[in-house]
Amino acid sequence: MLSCTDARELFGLLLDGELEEPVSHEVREHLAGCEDCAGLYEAMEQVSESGAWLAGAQPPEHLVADLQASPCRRWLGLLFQAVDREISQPNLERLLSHMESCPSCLAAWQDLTLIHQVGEATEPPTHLLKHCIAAREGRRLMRPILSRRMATAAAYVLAVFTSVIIGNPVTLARNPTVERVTQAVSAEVAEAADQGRGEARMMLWRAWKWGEERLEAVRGLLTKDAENDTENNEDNPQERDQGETS
Amino acid sequence: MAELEITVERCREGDEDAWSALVSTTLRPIYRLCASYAPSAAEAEELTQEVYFKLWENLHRYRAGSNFMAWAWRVAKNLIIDSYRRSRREREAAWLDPEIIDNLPAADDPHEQTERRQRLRLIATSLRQISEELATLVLMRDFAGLSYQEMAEATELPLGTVKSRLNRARLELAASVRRRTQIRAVPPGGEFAEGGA
Repeated sequence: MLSCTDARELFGLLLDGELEEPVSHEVREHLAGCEDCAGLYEAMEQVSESGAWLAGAQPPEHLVADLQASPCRRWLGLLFQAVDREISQPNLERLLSHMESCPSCLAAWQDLTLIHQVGEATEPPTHLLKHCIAAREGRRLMRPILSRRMATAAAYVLAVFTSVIIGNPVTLARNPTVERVTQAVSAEVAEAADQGRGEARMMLWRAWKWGEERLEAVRGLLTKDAENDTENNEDNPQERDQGETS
Repeated sequence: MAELEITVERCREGDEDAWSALVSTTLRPIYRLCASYAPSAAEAEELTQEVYFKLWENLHRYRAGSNFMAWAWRVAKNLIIDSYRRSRREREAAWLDPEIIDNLPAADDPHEQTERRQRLRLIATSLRQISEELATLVLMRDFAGLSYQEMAEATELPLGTVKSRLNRARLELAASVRRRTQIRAVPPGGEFAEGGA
């Protein structure tokens, strides 16, 4: 009968079905009589089965697609090292030479550099230091509710409302006080429009449209009321007469 | 950094001037971190002030001898998470603020400026396509300029994990930008399709 050492050396071949029948029979006989070796062989069988299952396993589709679509993946590894300034000189030279011929790697480099540049250029506004030092005194010493842009827009809306509520802007404009106010507001609005960027212009445009809509609504309301009054008077002349008599 | 720790100690002892010194030293990195999360420059300012209020309020909890900036990052991060639980789609990144872009080097060239603006919008959109955790790592490292060690302490992740995740984040960002570029304009030579990032 085989010794444990001899038998164990043959386990691999037995698992692969490569033992001749007499030798295979001897190993099986040993397994039947040796609990330790039987346990070990069973474990080897399980590992072998797992291996067979793994051999049949396929990598996820997205991984295959990703690797196939990104032959530059290894270059990007170097590129990230370069962004972190942890790249060696020879690798940097290789990378630079690759980027000359690879627009997508160059774009990735430029994107990260751009984010970095914007970060570098992002400075806290000067007044923020004072507010942050004052932060220990409570939350109320924060930034003003109305910013300059908001104040300009509010002034503009107020001007539109004033003209809607008080009357004809042409008549009002003849008043010297109103003229001065109009000039001041116009100057503020013009300055915001000239100096302001996209956001301020959009705000002014919206305020203008909003004012126009309100004006139309008020006009519509007044016209409707006037029409209703006329209709009532025409439809019920008797009632009107009775009312007048009584 | 040792000097910063001494300043913090003085603050804890009630030294008023030390607090001003602490704010002056740490304002820039903390503001940049807030700007990387906040939806507008104005909100970045508010958030920065909130962070300092929290820092002051919890100064007694700071463990002497540990890294103050790492502790400050954690306080800021928790506050940011609380403040911006709303959908990422609803907010535009503060770092797209035109005033910041206009201050970049070589900003006098209008063509260059327009291209940069478009590219930054593309990057911002692509950052929204990857997971928030990964996008945060890119912004912490590449925008706010945190070191790997500071990132590890702020995120409470092991250093190796931070490095590997940042690598993945940058790869996904590059892939996302590439996909969007392909969608926007199919290149005649197919360079992007073949060269893929």
